[in-house]
This record gives sequence, structure tokens and C-alpha cells, in this order.
Amino acid sequence: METWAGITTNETMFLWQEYWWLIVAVLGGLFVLMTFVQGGQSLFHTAKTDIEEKAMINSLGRKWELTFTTLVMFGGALYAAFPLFYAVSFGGAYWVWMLILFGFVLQAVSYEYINNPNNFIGKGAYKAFLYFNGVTSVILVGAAVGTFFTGSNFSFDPATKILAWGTATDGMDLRGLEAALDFGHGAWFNLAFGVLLFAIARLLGALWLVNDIDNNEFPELVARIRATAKKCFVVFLAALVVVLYGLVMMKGYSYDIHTGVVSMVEHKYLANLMAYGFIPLIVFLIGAVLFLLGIFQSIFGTSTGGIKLSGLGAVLIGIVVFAIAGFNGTPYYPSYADLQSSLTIQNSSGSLNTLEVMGGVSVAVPFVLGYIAYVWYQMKKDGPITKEELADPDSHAY
Amino acid sequence: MHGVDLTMLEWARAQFAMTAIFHFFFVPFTLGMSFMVAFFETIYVKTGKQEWKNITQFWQVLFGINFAIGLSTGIIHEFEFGTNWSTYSWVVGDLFGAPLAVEGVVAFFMEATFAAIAFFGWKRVSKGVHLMSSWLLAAGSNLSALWILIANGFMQHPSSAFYTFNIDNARLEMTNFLSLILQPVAQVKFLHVVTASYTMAGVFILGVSSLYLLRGKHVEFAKKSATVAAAAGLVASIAVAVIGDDHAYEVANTQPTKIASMEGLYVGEKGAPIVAVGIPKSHTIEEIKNMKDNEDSFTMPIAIPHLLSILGKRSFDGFVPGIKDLVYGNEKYGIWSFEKLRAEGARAIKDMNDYHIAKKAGDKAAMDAAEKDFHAIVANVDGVKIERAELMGYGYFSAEDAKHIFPPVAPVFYSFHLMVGLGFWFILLFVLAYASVLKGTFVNNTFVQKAALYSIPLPWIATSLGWMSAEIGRQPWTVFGILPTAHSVTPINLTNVQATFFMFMAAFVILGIAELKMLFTVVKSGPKGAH
Amino acid sequence: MKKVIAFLMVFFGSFLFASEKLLPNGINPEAQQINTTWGAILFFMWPILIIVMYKFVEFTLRKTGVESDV
Repeated sequence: METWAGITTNETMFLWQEYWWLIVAVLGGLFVLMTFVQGGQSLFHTAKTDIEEKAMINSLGRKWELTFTTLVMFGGALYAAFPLFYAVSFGGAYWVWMLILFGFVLQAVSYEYINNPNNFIGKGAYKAFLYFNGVTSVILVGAAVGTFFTGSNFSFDPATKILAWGTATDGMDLRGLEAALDFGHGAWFNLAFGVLLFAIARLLGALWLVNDIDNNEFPELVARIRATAKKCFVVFLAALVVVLYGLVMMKGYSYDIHTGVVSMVEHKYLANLMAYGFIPLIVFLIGAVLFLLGIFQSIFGTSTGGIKLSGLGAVLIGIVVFAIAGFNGTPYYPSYADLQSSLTIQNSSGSLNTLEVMGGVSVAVPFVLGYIAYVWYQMKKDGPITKEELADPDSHAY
Repeated sequence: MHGVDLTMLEWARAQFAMTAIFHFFFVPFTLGMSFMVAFFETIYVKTGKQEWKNITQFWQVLFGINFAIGLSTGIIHEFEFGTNWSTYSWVVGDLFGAPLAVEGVVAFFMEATFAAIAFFGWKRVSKGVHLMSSWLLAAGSNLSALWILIANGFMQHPSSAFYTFNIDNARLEMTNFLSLILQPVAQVKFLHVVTASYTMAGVFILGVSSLYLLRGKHVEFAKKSATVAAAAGLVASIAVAVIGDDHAYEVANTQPTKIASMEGLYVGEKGAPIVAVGIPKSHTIEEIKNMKDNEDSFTMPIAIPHLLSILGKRSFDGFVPGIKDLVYGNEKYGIWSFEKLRAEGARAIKDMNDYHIAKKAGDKAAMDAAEKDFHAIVANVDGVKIERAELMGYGYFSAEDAKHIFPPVAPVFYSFHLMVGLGFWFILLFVLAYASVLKGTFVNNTFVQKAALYSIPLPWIATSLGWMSAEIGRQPWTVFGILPTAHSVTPINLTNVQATFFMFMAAFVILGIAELKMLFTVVKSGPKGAH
Repeated sequence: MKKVIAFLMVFFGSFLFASEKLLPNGINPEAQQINTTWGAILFFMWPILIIVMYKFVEFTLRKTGVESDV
């Protein structure tokens, strides 16, 4: 069988590629956590009075930029470390990315504009933008990640890597949207993945709001948020069952790290969970337990601190999802149109020099996390958002 | 070119141009206002006077309305590089993606994190932490400009000092990151953009303050704001011009086709003049071929002798190549004709194909031979060696493309010259304003006030024109001399690109109107109604 | 004063590289060799410029008496 690109057997290179995939996984995990902003946006209908809505907008509005930046960073890291993925996925699954993008573009202006008089199209429109971003963008991101397991419909010229999308004889070509419609190629899994991410985001959003809004001043709002989150928990469980069933039972894509030859392997992702001395499985289980504990604490219970446990759990689960998609001889962006066009961390990465230089830059990441934590603490140390703060002209509330 | 649909190419370009220009309405304002707000707040913290806090918060509100839309339109480009320009992203992702990733790590997080304190932390953190946050927000936003301009600097001047061409992957691979980030073309671009941004913020604050003075409202507020704006703007506007001169010098030495179009120079000259004012005539490629001198280049030119050589070559009699030299060659100065460049480029493409055919056949000897020919040195000037691979981009053009190998003269000439004219107007405006501020007559000087007020839109026009002359002037390349624009685009059907074009256009129209309405509302209600 | 000297050095330093022979596509061969020192100097002009701008603002505020406490 002929592969389209020589797989490097340079060990240093391979280690850097694994390092960068790990960074991508960590950023992916952090992004899952930060989708609490989008999840929170899908809960605006739980506010029944203006001041309740204002509290929600201000609570989420102080954090949206961080989610936005995490997404940009996630894209930037992929661009620099795995440019072929960037070219193939963004250029190929055109509409998925464009719609995700559009949702985030609209979100970014909405917080600043929503409560501003003379915002031209009215408050309702900006609220709709926030819902659109909170529901559609998140489901699409989830579905896009689903294709990391089910594959996409592309192939390309082995010499120039110029892309051809929609080349599968038995596939649909909707420039990416087939991921949600082509049930012969795993749309059910992609959709379940999208719904799962949405449910996680919404639960995290609820946990964040319960924590960040003063429970004594807004008791009814907090109760309504909890009630909605409980319903969402059922959706979460249903989607989780489908996704786990898929991951365990699905035939997965696999490649030989020395020759680069891609093939289909039964229970590949289950095998990945159990690879590396069961570490992925253990981390996944710890993440799942933490996530559930947080929910029982603050959604079913009355504590406000659940976001911490659930947030950490979400990060761990996110890391494991990306890890089993790309490590252990697994092509992370497989093609069902042409197996040998599948992207692996080895055949899609930037040059050794770029990975090394960027590796040097990644030393700054702990520092960045450090000042984010510092700022987060500074903004939180005086307690949750109160009515007094929202009414104070000096606090620049939205 | 690989069966690229040219109409699609034009739509993809139009989409990028639209999103970039719209983004660039907000970016320089953010870059400039963030520092102006930090200046006002520093004065407040040093004096402890409430009135300076009110001033800070008023300008911060205007800055805040603009800040979000700047971010939101910025992410569009990150996505567009992948969705619309996927071939570009693969071929130069090593060099272009790396600065973008660094931008995220060192600039965007700083900007986003400290923005939260700067906007919402007035009551939640100490004065000192808040002031630091305002400065870090400003530094972060400016640093993001630095990194994107490093990426853009690579597109303008992709020196072989940064990369080698990997025949196996058909892409450029980075070899020297330090040169890439410290190349003067990128750094001078950064300085030119930030100083223009500070000028823009200065004109805006001076203009809005003048509006209040003309109406006799908020006089103390306006006087203080105008004093700060006049001083900062004077420094900034002079710096733009000084840096701009060096920027032009870099362009002249790295992008000969751009400078020739910017100045309407059809035939290269020693001691070339600058036509300060004039109407460049358009010529067909055959006419250019037969031109002996520049007598017929302009209608009604007012030329300053030798100035282009001085600016471009730092020498009274330096030779500046014209469009004719760059298309048909000039042996005396070692410039090749487009035909010759194209022949070498085509040979490099053939080498690459031969290499991959040989690879498929497992013929190692043929692979090596092709690779050797691909990397063969085809020119050596003063010790600077040019590999055949570096000319590969020319091989994607056809013989008829001679007329497209340089940018269109008229738009590049006009945008550049208008920008320069506006730049000089800003210096004059700030000199007038500063003089009257010093004399203490600004509050009563309605002439300068009116000049400042009516100048408010001009910095936006100037920065857009600057951007146009830089990016139209780069055509027909995305990466100058390396990767043709037509070879950068995603192979995708026209309708997809048209649909997203109109999607963005609709969003921009709506958000643009909303933004302006809110800005006007805040300006109208004045500092007291700032919240 | 140091700033002024540094600036002048940079400005006139750039006069030094001028060549007659050009590369095949018209680029100046000197420009192909990247002068990172010059690039670094250009970069550090940015913070210097910010400080100069701010100090000039303070100077103006004091000089005009608009704010003498800075």
C-alpha cells in the first residue's frame, strides 16, 4: 500500500510532535472548561426580571474574552504546530468553521452592546446572538471534534497537498456540514458529541452562575438555574451514553508510526484508553467523577463551589478526548474518502525548527496561567455579584 | 494555475479586503486609545483628583465600545487563512502560523485578562492594580499588533534568511525565527502602525474636545483632554512621518514592484524624482515595453528631483528600478526579465514534480538529481545567493501574465500619496493645536477647534489608505516573489465564498451602524453621562 | 540625551547600505541579509516613544498650568 508522505522516523521530531499534540489537548481541555460562558448564554431565559438578567450578563460578560482568546489560541497552536490540519480542515469543512466563527463574531460584540441604548437592532437581537453562539457554535465545535473519530471526506495531491474535498464515492459533499447529515459516515456520533459538549457547557454555565451571583440577593434566579440544569443533566447522560458507546464499539482509524500506513482497527479508541498503562482511562474516570461530584454539590445540592470540581473534571475529560484521538498511532483527522490521506501528528506537523521554537515560547504558558489566576482572584475576592454593584455607575456594569 | 477559478479568487480577495478594512477601522483606534486612557489614568493616580478619573472613564467608555468589535473582527482573519487560503496556510504555515501562535500566548491573553480589570475592576481592585492593568491592556493590544505585523512583514519581505524550501513537502520551512521577528521590514511596519494609531487617538480626542468647546459645554473637561491630546498627538504625528520615511526605504529595497507603482515610475532612473502631485497615466504592457523615459508617465506632474533616490536608496543618484526594468529586465543592474524568472520558476516546479515521480518509483538517484537542480544557485550578487527554488513562484504564471506581475499603478499611487498628504496635515494640525494650547488660547481658538473637529474622520481614511497601498502593492503575490495570490486560495466553489462574503457584509453593516450610534450617543451625552 | 544619540545613530546608520547591483527580481541584495540589530533597535524605539509621549504630556500640563500637580 502506498502512503502519500514519508513518515519521519526522527525521534526528536516525533517527541516534539507528541509534545505539541499534548499542548493542543490541554488547550482543548481548557476550552471545554471555558465554554461555561456559552453554556451560561443558553440560560438567559431563566432570568425573569431585568436585574436578574443584568446579573447574568455581567457575570458572563467579564469572562467571555477569556473563552474567545482560548479559542483563538487553540487555533493558533494548531496553525503553527499542525499547519496541514489547518489547511485541510478549515479549507475543507468550510461551513462548519464559518458558522462557528460567525457565532463567535456576533457574541464578541453582544455583551458590550446589549444593554447600551441606541444599539440599533435592539436588545432582543443581541440576546439572540448570544443564544446562537451558546447553542449552535458549541454543538458545531462538538461535531467538528466528533469528526476526529469518525473521519472526513477529503483527499489530496501527495506532492503539493492541494486539497480535494468530497471525494468519497459513497459520501456527501456539503463542505463540512455532511458531518451532521451523513449518517453512513458517523453523523449520529458527531451530533451526539455536539450535544454532549453543549450539555457540558450548559451545566458548567449553571455552576458558574450559581457561584458568581449572590445567592441571597437572587434566590429565585439561582433556583431556576438549578432546575434547568437538572433537566440538562438528563440530556447530558443520554448524549454521554451514545458517545461512550461509539468510542468503545467503533472501528477506529490507526496508523503505523514507522511506515505511516493507515488502516481500520476494531475497538481502536477503547484500546487507546487502555494504552500507556491505563493512564488515559484513569484520568478520564477521575475527570468524570470530579465533574459529577461538582454537579451533585451545586446543582442537586446547595453548595456554590461545584464549578471548581466540575471545571477541573471537564478539563481532564477534554484532555483525554484529544489524547486518544491523536496518540498511540491514531490519525487525529482521518479521511474516509482516502484512508492514506488521513492526518496524523507526524505527517501534518510543522518543521522541527518551528516545533522547537514554539516549544520555547510555550514556556510562557504557565506564566500566562499565573496572571490569569491572579486577575481572577483579584476580581473575585470581594465576593459574588450583588445588586449594589450592578447599580453603581462607577463599576462600569454592562 | 491548478484550475483555480479566477472569479472565485477575486471573491476570496474581496472578502479578505472587506474583512481586513473593517477590522482596521477599529484596531488602530484600540491601539491608540488604550494608551491614551492609560495616560489619563496615570495623571489621575498621580494627582488623586476626581476630575481626571472622570476624564479617564469617559474616554474608556468610548474605547470599550470599540474594543469588542476590534476583537470580534480579528478572529475572522485567523479563520479565513484556513477557510479561504488553505494552500497558503499549508505552504507558509511554518513561518506565518508561528507568529500568530506567539501572538496568542504573549499578547491576546494579556489583553483579554487585564481588560476585565480595566473595565470592571474600578471598585474591585486597588488603584495601583487598576492602573497597572490599564497599562498592561495597552501593552497587550499593541503587542498583538507587533506579532501580526511580523507575520505580515514575512509576506512583504520573505527573505531566504528565514526558511528553506522543502521539496518533499512542497512548502517553506522555518530556519531562523529570530531573523523573522527582528527583520527591519516588520519592525518598521509595527512602529509605523502604532504611531499612526496614537495619531488617530490624538485627533479623535482633540476633535471631540473641540466639539464641546465649540458648543461651550464641558469646558474644563475639554481643555484638559485637549491639552493631553495635543501634546501626545504632536509627538505621534511627527514620529509617523519619520518612521514612514524609513518604511518607504525598506519597501524600496525589498519590494521594487510596489515602490515603482507607488511612485508611478515606469522606467528606472538614477536620481529618480518623486511626483508629489500628478495623475499617473495607465499604459498597456506593450507601451511600457517601448517607453524610453518617464516623459509620458504623468499628466501635470509636480516633481521633486532626486527625492525618490534619496528616500529609497539613501543616495542622491541611487538607481530605482521602474516597472519596465522589472518586467523586461535591466542587465546593467542585474535585473532579469519576467520571462527569465518564469523559466527558472517553471524549471523548479518541474524539478519538484520529477522528485515526486521518482519518489513514487523509489528511484533515489533521480530524486537526488531533481532536488539538486531544485536547490541549484542561479544567481549570486555580492555574496547573496539565490536558489532556483526561491523563484518557483514565478513558474506558476503564464507568459501573458507579464501585465499582472506588478500591482495596478493608479490605486497604489493614489492611496499612498493621499496617505502621505494626510500625514502632513496631521502634523500641521497638531502644531497649530499645540501652539495655541501653550499660549493658552486653545479654548477660544475656534479656527483650530473646527479644524480638529472636521479632521476626526481623516485618520481612519489615512490608515485605510496606508493599508491599501501596502496590500494592493504586494500583488500579485501573497508572499512577495514566492507565492502567487492565485496559488494561495482554497479550491472551493464560488458560491460558498460569495455566501460568506454577504454574510459578513450584512453583519458589518449592522454592527457598524450600531457601533457608530453608540459612539455618537456617548459623545453627545458628554462626560457626565458617561455611564 | 542617550535616546537622541541612539535615534540619530539608527537614522544615519541606515544610509550606509546602498548597492548598485540588484537581485534578479530587483530586490536590493543587502536587504536579503537580515539586520537583526537594526530590527531590535527599531523595536525598542516603541517603549521609548511611549515614555517620550507621556513625559511630553506631563511637561505640557505643567507648562500650561492646566495641571501643575503631575
